[in-house]
Amino acid sequence: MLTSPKFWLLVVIGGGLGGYFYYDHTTKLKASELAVQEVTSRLASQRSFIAQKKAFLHQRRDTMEKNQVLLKAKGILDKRLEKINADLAQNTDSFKMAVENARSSAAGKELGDFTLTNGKLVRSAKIRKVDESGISLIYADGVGTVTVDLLPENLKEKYDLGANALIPKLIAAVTAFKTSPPEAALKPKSTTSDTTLPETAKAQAPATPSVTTTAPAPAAGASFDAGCLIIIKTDHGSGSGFIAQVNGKTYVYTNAHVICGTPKSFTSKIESIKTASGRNIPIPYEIELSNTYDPNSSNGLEDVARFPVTLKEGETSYALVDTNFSIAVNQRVTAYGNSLGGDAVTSLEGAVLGLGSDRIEISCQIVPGNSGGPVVLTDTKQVLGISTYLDSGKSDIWTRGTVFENVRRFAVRPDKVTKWRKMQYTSLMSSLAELKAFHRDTLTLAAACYLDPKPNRGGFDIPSRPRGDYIIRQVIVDGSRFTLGAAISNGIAKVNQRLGFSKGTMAITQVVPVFAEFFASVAQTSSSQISMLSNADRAPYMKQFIPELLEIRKTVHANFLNEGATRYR
Amino acid sequence: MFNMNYPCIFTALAGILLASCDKNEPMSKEQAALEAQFIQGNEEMGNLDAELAQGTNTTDLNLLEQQHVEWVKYNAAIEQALAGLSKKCTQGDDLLKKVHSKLDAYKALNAQ
Repeated sequence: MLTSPKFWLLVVIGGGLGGYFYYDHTTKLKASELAVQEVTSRLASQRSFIAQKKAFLHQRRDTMEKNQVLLKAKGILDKRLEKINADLAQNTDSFKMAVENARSSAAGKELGDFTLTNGKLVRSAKIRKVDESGISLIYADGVGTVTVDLLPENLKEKYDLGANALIPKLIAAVTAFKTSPPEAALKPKSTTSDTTLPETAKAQAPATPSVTTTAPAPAAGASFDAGCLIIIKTDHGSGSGFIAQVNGKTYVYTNAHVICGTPKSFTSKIESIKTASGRNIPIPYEIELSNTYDPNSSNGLEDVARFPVTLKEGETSYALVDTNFSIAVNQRVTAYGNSLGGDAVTSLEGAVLGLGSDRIEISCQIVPGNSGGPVVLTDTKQVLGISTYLDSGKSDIWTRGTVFENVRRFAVRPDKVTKWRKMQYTSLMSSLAELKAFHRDTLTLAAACYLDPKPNRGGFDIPSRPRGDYIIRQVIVDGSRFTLGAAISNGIAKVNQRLGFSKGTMAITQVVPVFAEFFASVAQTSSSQISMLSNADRAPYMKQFIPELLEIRKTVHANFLNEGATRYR
Repeated sequence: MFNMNYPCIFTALAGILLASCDKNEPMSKEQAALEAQFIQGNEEMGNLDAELAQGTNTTDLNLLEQQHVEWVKYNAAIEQALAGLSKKCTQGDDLLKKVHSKLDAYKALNAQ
């Protein structure tokens, strides 16, 4: 058999088959092994990254918690220091009063015989009057004044006179205590070698750390009272404010856009108003919006709002500069505010770069979140402006290489507001809600322009196709919460109910009046909304939103009517 | 003839047997399990990123670490300010005590 060629041929074929199967198997196995190795390695790197992120998060949480604890401790110490200062002032006053009483009640007091420091004997002395210069006496030899330098120590001590008088020393000590900055007794615990934090900044919060490279640098050291700086949070973002006293009344000042939102995003709720020292200020019952408006000047005085606030004992407030205050270019100013909504008030130093009738351009590195914060004269601490808006600059052949390529920063002058419009908070919010609803209705009307008649004309077909960044059906369904949206949704349902019974194609004469009725009814609701909004009387800040809202609505309204007139006939 | 086919059949069968001891299947299962873990890891990473991005608008760890360094410095500055404030409060308390005692002594002197 072994010599049979057939046998060997079969051995070769068998071997070949076995070899092929083995080769195929090992190749697949290797590929799987490689794939597993690759996933394992990806997984390992992912796990390491997750561990890294977790460790960082943990560390950051610790740091933030520590920050909260430190800020709280600082708040407590600040209050304690305030109390000490108040107690010192009170005790100084008590001391002054005690001395005054001693001096005023001295008249008529018998001193008997006593010897002056020059050795002269004064006999049967009686006090007439005591003042800073000495004691006026009636004595055996007549009437006269004994100057302080001649008085014996016991009398000087009793009436607090002379070089060792306590009151002047006390006043000097208290003043020195009040004006001396707190000494830093410890070295920074940071292990970094950074020494750029200025000495004066160590006593207060530096700028909120930011992740953007263009973020403001830490504060350069202008001190501020956290009790009169405000952080405002609404459902559309965060902003700033400050407490100022005007004509004997105390207000929180801010920007109208912080409270009301912007044309793109209206506010519907103020969530919280807090001082930077942590005091909660109740949501005001009444808000005043500036009623001063120049239609040729955008971002102007109309963007100022204020509401009354009651100061608690020991709390301070800013004063506004006088309307006729003469501002100079390059005058040093400091902007305070809740930069980037970091919930920490930053102090940003700079100068006045430009002057306008109702605003100033500043170099302080204000960013979103600073809106509503004060721009304070560095030397007198009076409020010169309210950080209001940024201009992104312009890059063209005229500005290339100039400062006007960069972001420009502006503050409006609150002292220039001449008229205010009082609004209850609830009415302000309902006005904003109305604008928001009008805008939402416009979107629903725009979606309704894309309704299709069903192929058998048995009603409307609501398309599910996307239109721009929304889906038509979704917008019509969601929009039914608003007035016009509800009119559209109900109208569609009504038309579909009336025409939906048909199985075959309906006659045009039957469907046209039903469709026409729908278009007429929706158009009427839309027209009355347009007319109501056109005639609405509002504060300038909100009024300026209206033209744009109306313009969009009118275009959409015309499209809607056009659809009704052409597509359904 | 039949006998002569045996080696061929055995060899082929051995090959098929070897191939049928399929290690591929467990490997594929392992790979799928690892992939599932990877997807889970991605979800976890997404959650972590969301937490990281809170209030910062970035998930870039380098930028966040830079920011963290600033917070650490800020805390160090507050600690330093606290130490200064604490010292000043102690000084204030001492001064207040002195004023109190002087005032009391003065009142006592004038009460005589």
